[in-house]
Amino acid sequence: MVKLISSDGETFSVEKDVAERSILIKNMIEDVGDSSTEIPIPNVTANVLKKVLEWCEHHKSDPAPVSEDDNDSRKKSTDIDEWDQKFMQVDQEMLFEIILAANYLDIKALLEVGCKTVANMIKGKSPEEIRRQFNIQMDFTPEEEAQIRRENEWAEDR
Amino acid sequence: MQFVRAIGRSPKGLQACSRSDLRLQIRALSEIILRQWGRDEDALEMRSRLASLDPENSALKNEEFVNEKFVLKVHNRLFEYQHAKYANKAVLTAAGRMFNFFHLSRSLAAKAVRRNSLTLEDMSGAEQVIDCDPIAFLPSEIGQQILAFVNFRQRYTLQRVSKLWKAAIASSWALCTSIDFRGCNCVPGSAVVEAINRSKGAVTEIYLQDIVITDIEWVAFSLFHDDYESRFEILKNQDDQRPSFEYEYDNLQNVRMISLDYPFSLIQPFLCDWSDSGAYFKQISAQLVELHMSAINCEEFLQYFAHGNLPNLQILKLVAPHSARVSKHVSLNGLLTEPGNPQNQLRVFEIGAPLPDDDTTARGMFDFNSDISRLRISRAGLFEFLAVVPNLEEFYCRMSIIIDELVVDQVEVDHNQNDDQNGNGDDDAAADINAPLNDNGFLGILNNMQLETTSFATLLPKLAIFDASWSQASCFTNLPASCRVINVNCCSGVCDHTNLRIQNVIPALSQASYIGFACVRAEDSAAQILNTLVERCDAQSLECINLGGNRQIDYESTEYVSFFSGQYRMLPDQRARKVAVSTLPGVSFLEAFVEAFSSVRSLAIGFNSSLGDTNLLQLRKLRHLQFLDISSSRVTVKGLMSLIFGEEVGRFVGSNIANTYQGELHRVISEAVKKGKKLGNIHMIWVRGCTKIPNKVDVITRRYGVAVIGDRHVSRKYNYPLLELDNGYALADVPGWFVK
Repeated sequence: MVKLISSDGETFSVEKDVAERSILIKNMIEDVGDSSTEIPIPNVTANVLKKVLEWCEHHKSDPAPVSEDDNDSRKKSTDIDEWDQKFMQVDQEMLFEIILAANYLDIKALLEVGCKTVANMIKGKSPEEIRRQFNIQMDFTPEEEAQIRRENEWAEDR
Repeated sequence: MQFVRAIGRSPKGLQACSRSDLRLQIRALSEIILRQWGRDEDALEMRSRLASLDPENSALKNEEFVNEKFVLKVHNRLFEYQHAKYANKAVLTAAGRMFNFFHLSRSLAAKAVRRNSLTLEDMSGAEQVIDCDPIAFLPSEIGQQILAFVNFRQRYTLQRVSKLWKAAIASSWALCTSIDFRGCNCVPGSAVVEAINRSKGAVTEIYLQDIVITDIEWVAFSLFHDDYESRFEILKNQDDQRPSFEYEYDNLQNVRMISLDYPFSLIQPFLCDWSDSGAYFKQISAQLVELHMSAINCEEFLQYFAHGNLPNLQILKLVAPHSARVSKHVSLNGLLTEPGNPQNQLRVFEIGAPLPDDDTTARGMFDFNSDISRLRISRAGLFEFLAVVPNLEEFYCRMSIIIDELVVDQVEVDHNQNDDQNGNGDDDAAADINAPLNDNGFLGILNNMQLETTSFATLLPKLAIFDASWSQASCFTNLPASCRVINVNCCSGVCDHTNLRIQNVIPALSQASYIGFACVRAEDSAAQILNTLVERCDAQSLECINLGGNRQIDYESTEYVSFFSGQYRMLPDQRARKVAVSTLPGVSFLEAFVEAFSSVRSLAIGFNSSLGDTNLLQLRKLRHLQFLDISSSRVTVKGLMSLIFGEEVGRFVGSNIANTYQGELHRVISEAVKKGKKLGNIHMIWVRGCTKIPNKVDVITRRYGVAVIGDRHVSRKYNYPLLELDNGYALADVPGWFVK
């Protein structure tokens, strides 16, 4: 068992192989050499860490990703498996927090699922819809926008 | 029409719409959730929360009303469903609606704030969380990663979102492993070059498919010439007219897959100039694993291939090789010319003309004799080719005619063109049959066709997918038992006089999961085919069988149209056990069928005028049926009633029942309404081709939760708005709600 302490001081006891889904934690355990020490996770709050560990628990027996040379497996499909889809049904704040935590903890697969989830929110929408959805201020002048539109006209929806 | 109106508004209109409209909106959404997600816990939760948003609801709590998080949650979920396997256009539409809803709820929330003096901090806090730009909020490398998952083409348009997005997209190209121009009509060559060059070598796949490269094509068309080859020659020799199309080779070093597919884009000669030593394509050919091409000079390409230039190629798809205008047959012998260069890496090989699109198929508008619709392959070449690809797992030979020596002789006689008795079946012979074959020519070919004894099972022991649809199935005998997908749909559509007997064509089917045997016009009766198939198949593995359009009696060309227009199913749904058996004869067939396929989930016997009440009762034995299409049957109200309201109803009547042409179903439904009966577990009724629409559809949809889906005909007649769905048309945005 490994003890993790969230930024707000909550302690989580998890199995070693669950915690080691995070490369950061894995390296820390290796460095310390003693898995019984408490590991502080200063960038992640308890509610987010709980979610992340839930994901790690479910995926603990996944085959380890083939290092670096997995360009092919990183194909740009945005399919997300069913469990992960459900897992990611959280509000946007939590979604972003999970992504940030996955990035910080170096959990590639979770980061990818998070990115895909956001990408799926973007997919198939027009720039106008995107602006509306994420409340983005358009900071181009009408002329600039028209220019970009002209340059990429071939890519607009038929 | 209230619902339709309320939902169909533009966002602007919605901002100003009344509370009662909001109410309709909420109900509509709630109904969509019910329809699309079923009755799982989430859906119930969503619905109950939606109900609490209803402004007319006395129990309305303001804090819930302004809970945009929840609205966003619904919205996000709708979008996630967009990518789920059972998504369809209705969900997409609903998701789009949700945008409006979201904004509407915000404006109403603002009013609620004023009315109930909720503090503005509460509101702004909520907004901060919700309306967060992921590109601004997340670290830039994560933002790039997100954008890298967004469709290649869409990324170009998203540059307009904001300056930040434009910058993020610009840096996301470096993560781009796939250059994918599919879905664009016209692409400037400069965009292609730019895409290649800025990928910095990361790109592994290039799709230049179904597009016109504008600057190059323009030059080509300005030199218009009827003949493809001479046009190409002219172009090749006019360097000054040729736009530069240069990219840095280093940026292509990781490319493994290129798709240069259809239509006849003239860019291909420039990329694939086999004879020119400096051709761009040659530099990367050794590393290619997968290649899709169409409209190329097949002979030249195959020669190139034969010289060992594509040593790592595993997947090769040549759709419509050679120009459409050239009726010369294709020899695969080129593949064999170099000993020591066995092409034994190939796992997937596709050659053939493009399949007619669904619409053409549906209307029976195919022209078997036109040059474009058929590809001719030398039979000797084909078999020799197959002998050197023992690892082939997938073989597609669609829309092709296999020509052999016998045929060549026959054609020569028919056309009195040439008395050369050259029987090699390769290039020499090809020249002899340049003239298009007329009907008699075809018949001559087919009558002389001897069933080949060469066994596919020996040649291709690993074959798993075999597709020779719209082709000449009689050439392909003795498929190996390993075949999972066997598709010989419409195989004898062209071969009216082929003696296609199933025993000859497919002796081994033990592992098949899909069998397409539609419109084969076999001599065997449909029931016989079915029996044979069932005998030979492992019932566990079989998922879909397509026998649509087969029957013993002759049909005239007018009937072609009707039998194609309905129940022609080419591919199985995921794991569905589907059968399409349109226009099959009645009782004897059904008995055999019901016995053989007791677990079938989907059955289409549309356009079968012989299906009557008595036969219908047979279907009650099918206990797993979820989809039933009995369009155009001679079923009476009584028969339908017994089917729908029989004791066993809960067990077998499923989600869709298509109506008869005579519009009998409306009477069944009226009857049901009158009696206050429940419609079993029917969720959806198609009234496709229906001449009468039940009067009380609204009652039915509301009381029983049954959606009624119509078609163009119904839409026109009743002036209902039509919404296109994956498998038909809904009469209004919310299925069933086309009430007056």
